[in-house]
Amino acid sequence: MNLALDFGESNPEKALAPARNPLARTDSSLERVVETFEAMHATPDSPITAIRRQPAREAEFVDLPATVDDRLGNALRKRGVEQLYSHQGEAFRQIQDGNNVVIVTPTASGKTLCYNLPVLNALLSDPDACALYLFPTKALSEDQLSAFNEMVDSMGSDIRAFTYDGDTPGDARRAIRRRANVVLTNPDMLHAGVLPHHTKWARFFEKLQYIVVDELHTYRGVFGSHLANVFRRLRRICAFYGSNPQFICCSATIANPRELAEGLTELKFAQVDRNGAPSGEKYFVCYNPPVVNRQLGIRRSYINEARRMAQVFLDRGRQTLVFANNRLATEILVRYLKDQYETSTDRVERIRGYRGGYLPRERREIERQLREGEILGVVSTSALELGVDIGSLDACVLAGYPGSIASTWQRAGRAGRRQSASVTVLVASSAPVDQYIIERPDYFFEATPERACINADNLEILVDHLKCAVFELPFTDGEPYGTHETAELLNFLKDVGVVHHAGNAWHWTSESYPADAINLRSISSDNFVVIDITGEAKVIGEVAFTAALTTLHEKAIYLHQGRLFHVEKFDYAERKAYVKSVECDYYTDAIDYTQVKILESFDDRTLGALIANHGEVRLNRQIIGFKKLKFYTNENVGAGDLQMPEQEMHTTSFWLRFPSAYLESFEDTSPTERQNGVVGLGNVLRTVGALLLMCDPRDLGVAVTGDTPDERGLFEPDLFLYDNYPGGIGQSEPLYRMREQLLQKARELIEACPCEAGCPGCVGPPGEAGDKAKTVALRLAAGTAALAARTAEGTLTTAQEAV
Amino acid sequence: MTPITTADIDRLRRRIERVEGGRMEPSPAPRTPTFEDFTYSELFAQPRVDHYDVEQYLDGKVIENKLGSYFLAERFYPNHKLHGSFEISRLAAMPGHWLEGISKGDIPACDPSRWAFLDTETTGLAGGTGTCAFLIGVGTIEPEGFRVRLFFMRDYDEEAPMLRALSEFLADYEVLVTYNGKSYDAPLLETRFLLRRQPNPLQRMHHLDLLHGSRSLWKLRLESCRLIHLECEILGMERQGDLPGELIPHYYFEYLRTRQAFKLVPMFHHNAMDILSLACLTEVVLPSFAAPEDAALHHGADLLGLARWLRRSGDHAAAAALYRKALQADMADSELFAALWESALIERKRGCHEQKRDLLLDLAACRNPYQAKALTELAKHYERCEKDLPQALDAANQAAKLDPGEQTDKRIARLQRRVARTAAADPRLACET
Repeated sequence: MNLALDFGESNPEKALAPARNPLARTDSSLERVVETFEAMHATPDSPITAIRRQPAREAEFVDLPATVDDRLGNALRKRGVEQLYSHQGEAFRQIQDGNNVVIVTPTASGKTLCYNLPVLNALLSDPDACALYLFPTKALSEDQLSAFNEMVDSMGSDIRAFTYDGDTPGDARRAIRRRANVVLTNPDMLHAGVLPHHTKWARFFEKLQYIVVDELHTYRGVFGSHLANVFRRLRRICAFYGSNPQFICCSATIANPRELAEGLTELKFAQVDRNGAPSGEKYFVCYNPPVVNRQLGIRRSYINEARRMAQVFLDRGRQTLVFANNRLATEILVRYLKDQYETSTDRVERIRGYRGGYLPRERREIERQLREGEILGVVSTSALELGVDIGSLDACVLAGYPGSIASTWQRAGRAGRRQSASVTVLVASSAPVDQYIIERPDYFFEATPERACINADNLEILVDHLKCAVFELPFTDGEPYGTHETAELLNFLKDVGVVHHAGNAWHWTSESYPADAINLRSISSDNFVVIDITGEAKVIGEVAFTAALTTLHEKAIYLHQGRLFHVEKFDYAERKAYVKSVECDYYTDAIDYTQVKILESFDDRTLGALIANHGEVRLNRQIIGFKKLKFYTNENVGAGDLQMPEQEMHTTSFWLRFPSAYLESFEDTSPTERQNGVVGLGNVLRTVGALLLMCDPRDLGVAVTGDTPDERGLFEPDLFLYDNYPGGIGQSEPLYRMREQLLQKARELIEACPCEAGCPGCVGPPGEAGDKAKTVALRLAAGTAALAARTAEGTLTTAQEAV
Repeated sequence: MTPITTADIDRLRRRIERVEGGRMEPSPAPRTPTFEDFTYSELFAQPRVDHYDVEQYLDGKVIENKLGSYFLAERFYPNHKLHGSFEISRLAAMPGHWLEGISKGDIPACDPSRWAFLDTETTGLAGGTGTCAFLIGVGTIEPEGFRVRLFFMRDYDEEAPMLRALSEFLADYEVLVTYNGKSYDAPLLETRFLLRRQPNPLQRMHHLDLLHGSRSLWKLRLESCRLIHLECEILGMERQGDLPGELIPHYYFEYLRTRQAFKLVPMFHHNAMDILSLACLTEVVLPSFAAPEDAALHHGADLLGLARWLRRSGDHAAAAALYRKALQADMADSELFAALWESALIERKRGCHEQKRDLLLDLAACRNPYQAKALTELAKHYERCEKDLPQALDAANQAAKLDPGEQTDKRIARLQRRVARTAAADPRLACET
């Protein structure tokens, strides 16, 4: 079949029409696929907005350092490692010099050896020495344990390494505490299971020499702020046992890895970022699904387009990883691809799904099958973005922009053979951020990856961990916590009744176990289990609390490995959902409704005719119903009401109040149109706000209240841009400081957008944003921006300063 | 880094109040003390003042050592006194070798004057390094009676001196006796000694946790093996106005804040009573394990419990004897059937096939949970031990009726084949079948 056939159609499906039998294809090289893409790119209005080529690069080697123990050196040579990549050598040297090190390298560059080499070397010279390895997930710990043990075995050494997490059985825990040299765990376990019981780990802490923090970049925002406090506690405990461990951190490419490492640990770091690993040629393709209705700004479904893109590679027998941004999209893509590649009589599965909700055994199996080439395609959520060992693949399709530049590159790094070429295709969804990125590929390719921001001094997080710290060890008078003085805070905790001052120290005087009340990651650590009751009842998956409300409500269609299940019963109290296997042609999407109440305004300023505020709010979110959507067409084929428990969250927010007198001055518009304008502006502000703060857009929530006229018939809405985390993570204050710029950029975005009356790239598509949304939003942004520029003359802050 | 200011903390305080509705740290609602909570002197003695120091309320003294001071109270229970129906003098009469039976030889014989009975009162059950033992009672057997020493920290700065004193005191003792101490008191104290950097005397001592032996004896008969329950059921002692254990941390924290020591009085009493009861129970429990055949147990369930313990310890002969004794005593039907079945298995292990057969026949004769299993065992018995194939087939058929299954079917088929073969060889049998 001729690859060039029909490429004038600007349609990859036709241009690269699928062959049912991959073996029949004579030319399956990726270079030919890329050539076709390039030809398509050259046509006017091409859906392919950019293609970037990254040339292959040679490896840079250095000799194995002389200080490496012979046993270790021999084991490495046995495994074919004669020399080190330059960054591995540099990391080893820095660590030998006693520095804390942060290593920044892309996926598959041999970073594991960067920390295993110095740690194993130290353990060989001192059999009593200990090291702590932290991974963000249990799966990664398991993975790294087997890699570590392979090294240990090939040295014939008796170094003992174990994972220690929620899955570790009780009797094994005792032995691990007593015998382990290396413990692989996660921050949550360290926080709630290890530190509060440090006396049981006395031997380990006394001998603790290295702390390895892998996937450092995942510790950002709230999670990172918590971890910084866990490290304050950890270092305090180490000091009690007389140890002062060295940190070795590994990070994916972000803007500020060293700053992040230093922020998390409050220690000085050396940075190693000159990658010496080789890589094959790589292509990155930006694809925007063609517009099918220009007037309504509707594009082809990105899910379907991602499916087609995946088929381009799968048809050629290429191992392909498809990333989707949420579990629903993942499951829908699994279903679509299974429809294409598997018949009901197939004994082997060629397409698999992968996400956090699958049981561990199932995930291990998929990882193995990927490594060994037994399966052709996997559709995954961000779960496979981290360093789980699945080998390298030929192609990667990103269904939707992953939300950050760092994670886009991280996912793209999954495609990449050392010897041959690989391709990543980013398929944009109609979400505003996706459209912004895909239409400005230069912005994307040239931008530095995001900064990882943490706020270790977020007062609520800090106080919570201070409680844990007192529980762990009494504070003597004048003893700092991290870099903080503690007298004020401890007096506060005394007033709350949980600590008591005696002699010259503060002691924990409460029956509670404070670590239990603090979750490092989200509101609730509760999981829902999914029980299949089609036949004999069995657990098929687990779903985190918040996601459960939208995916496991009664009458929902729950998807697992592309199979459909109808939720028969949702047991909120017991955290269980009972499902039965069904065959149907639709899936469900929950509808939620959010209310915001202002608790306290910290500050407010007029901004032209508007009033800008920041302060504290309470959000009440409720799932009020669901839609039934047909597969492939997404046609709405029904709906239902739901009575679900309300979720409450306290957080901080930036908000704009639109005085009714000002809105009344928009004489030629109806109240509904004005409301459309405010909602539309909210969409734009989130896009712009995320770019200014360099955060993930999902970290920001948007809500409009007072959007219906009050009893006096007045319409005076508040537009909220809130921290989408319980307690807030300190994003509202910079937004407040950058308010002029925020509106200025919003105006620029709307003005520059070529659509007629709103599109997903600005105020939202017309069907959603409502009449005149774009014109009103522009007027609101332009009017206030112009006025604000005058009032704030000379005080305009730049984004960089404000961040 | 911006320093945290008072204003920040005020804001936090307001937030916490809003979020938690003003309820900052949930604490158990204190029970209103009843009249029985107080002794006569507490109720009528002194006028109210701000501070009620512990030494004014309790017989005891403040003791100084090189680390500081702590409070030590003592209680003495002379030999002629009764604890419930138990005479204290029995304690001193315990022979040292009793320790060997219950510990399966792990604890060598040792004179009871070298035993220390220990119990702690703690600031919570959560565990972890933030839980502290503020009152540690140690009971010892003296020629004239039983003495309990109560080591108490009047505040957190007295923990280290208290632990040091405890450590020094225990230096003269070899055996530690506790109730659930292996999983609770000992690890907790280990943590406290480590945190206060004091030598841990428990590492050196043999530790007898009486909970396990008590459970073996009484689990079947009594609904709970909590110490307070055994004290009532076994020692016949009814405690008056004891304070609920779950309120103890609360009272201690309240004392730290208010220095109203009178609330501590029932706590000291509670701890001393626990230790005395522990010592008395030790005297009741140990002999059954030291000489099971002579155990002064009268309930079938207790004998069965001891028989099971012996079986687990691998002493099959003694276990079999105890099972026989248990079967002669009174017990509930469910236990009776279990005892018959276990007893049959023990006899089989010992190679006593006749005894085994009789026990199995008893089980096979009436409806019970072991009936099918007993019939299957009988079938094996007749086939292998007595070589009586028709009997075996009969038992197997009965078993199949009660509990059909592949295994049983196979056995029947095999037996039928063997019966047929034998019948072919012996024409007399052929007629019968």
